[in-house]
Amino acid sequence: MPPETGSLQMLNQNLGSLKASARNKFRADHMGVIFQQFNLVPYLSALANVALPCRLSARRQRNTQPDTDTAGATLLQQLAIPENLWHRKVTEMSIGQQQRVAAARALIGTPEIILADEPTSALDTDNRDRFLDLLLTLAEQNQCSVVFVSHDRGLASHFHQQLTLGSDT
Amino acid sequence: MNKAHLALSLAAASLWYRRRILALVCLTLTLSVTLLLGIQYLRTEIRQSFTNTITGTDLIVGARSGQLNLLLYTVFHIGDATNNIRWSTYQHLEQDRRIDWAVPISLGDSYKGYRVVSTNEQFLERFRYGDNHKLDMAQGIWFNELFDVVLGAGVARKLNHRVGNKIILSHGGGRTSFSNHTDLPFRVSGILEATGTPVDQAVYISLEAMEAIHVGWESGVAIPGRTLSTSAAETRTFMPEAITAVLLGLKSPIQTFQLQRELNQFRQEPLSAILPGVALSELWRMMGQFEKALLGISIFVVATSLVGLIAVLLTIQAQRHREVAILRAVGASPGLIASLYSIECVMLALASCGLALFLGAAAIASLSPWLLENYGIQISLRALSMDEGLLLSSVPLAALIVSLLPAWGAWRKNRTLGFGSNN
Repeated sequence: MPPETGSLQMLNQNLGSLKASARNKFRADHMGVIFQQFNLVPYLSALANVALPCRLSARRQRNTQPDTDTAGATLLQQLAIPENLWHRKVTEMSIGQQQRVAAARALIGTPEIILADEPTSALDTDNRDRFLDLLLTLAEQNQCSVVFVSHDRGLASHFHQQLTLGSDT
Repeated sequence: MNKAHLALSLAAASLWYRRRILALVCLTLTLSVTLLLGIQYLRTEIRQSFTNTITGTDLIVGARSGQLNLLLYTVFHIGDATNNIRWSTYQHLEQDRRIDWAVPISLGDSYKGYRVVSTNEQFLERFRYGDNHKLDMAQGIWFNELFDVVLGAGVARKLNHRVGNKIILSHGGGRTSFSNHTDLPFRVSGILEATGTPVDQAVYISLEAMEAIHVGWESGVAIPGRTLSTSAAETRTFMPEAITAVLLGLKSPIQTFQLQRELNQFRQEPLSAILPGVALSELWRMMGQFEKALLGISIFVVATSLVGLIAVLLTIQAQRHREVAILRAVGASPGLIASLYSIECVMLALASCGLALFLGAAAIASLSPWLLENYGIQISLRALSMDEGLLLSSVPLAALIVSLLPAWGAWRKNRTLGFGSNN
């Protein structure tokens, strides 16, 4: 959605002035998104979910080395998803595994920005820390900025910059 | 190109994921398309089979009645003759110079529910069906002796009779008759080749035999002591007094209408002369209304299933907002989302059409022997005609059109609201 007032600058582009189709392309090319929950297309396998951004963006397709499937498999491996689940339906996975698959999808094809909207709120503490470690390590390797939204102040120490919105009562 | 491939593979995966619920809608659509296609196919086949039931005969002459009635009882063996015509009338016709040949036909008795047609060797010689096909003997010979009988192919197959078998005819029509011509058994002398016309569903004896078996039956039942034995009958000569109808072939077809008018105004007795082609097409016109109504109904059935399909797709759509949000988040355009709905709907319709073709072909292949045997209708598998192809391809087209409803809804919603607004 374009901003109602003011402007939204990302990667030297004013998103508010872009057309809807250009915004779609921008999103596909430069951004990875992780939601709170239900991050995956239920009828695709884990690997197909991870590969999805590359099929919508030629730029991210080009960024995968040597090809999309190998890059996806590498990411899933780095995020500790057991190999026997890669080709299974994602609905058979635990929430923690699903969120890690979503992270792999956000990371594939090295987008500049990863937008994470409370991705850890459905996870327990152990899973949360593990997820965050993996996400941030891989983001650093791929040189992505992570914009992370959370109610959990305990996570603040993981990030370089913090921005607090509103009152926290 | 890449996008189209993505949309197709996503749609296919989505259909497969929802296969349980969609299988039912697909089944409904398959059955209705099978019905539609089957009716259209049978219409063509039956019309073909029907209009070729009798060819080469210029006029059918019988007692005064409507042309449909005369056609039905002489050619289709349905219903009964209103009256007989005199033998002298037949002789008169035979001597008419304009007439090339005349085949006398006498009806009335039956054999296990099949009509007994008494005629002479002219029937074998002159009767034509289909594309001017002649009758042929599959086994044995045309009747020669007084108590010889020739069976139609359907009768022989159904009752498992062979040349040389002895059979007993029944008096009057009907499958179970209480009065049989027990004293005078007939010997099967030959069996006709299958024709796919009502000829297959009758047995043929000579006019003399018809007279012989009815000696002593003048009051309608056999009077003991007055009927004949086989040996007594064979020493006598019989001359029919009346027959049911005459098939006529003219030397010059131009005179058909003139002769028809003359026969309809015949002084000696009330006659009806009909042109079989005209009567057949009138009969077809009557039934044609019926088959058009059937086709109309089946089109409605298909439309109903398409509406059902859309109802189900709309219900599913309500549950798909998360999936749509994910696709939008990774950069899918509203157009791509909308196209998913259309593609899924058309894929379902195509699957249904494919299944319907298979089902229809299987049904025709398995039912055609039964149809030939029981109804004398010859239906064979053939490639679809232009009309049938158009009718079949209109189904996915209609599916595409109705799918625009959910597709347009999805497109509009995703265009005005952002991808994150679903939560």
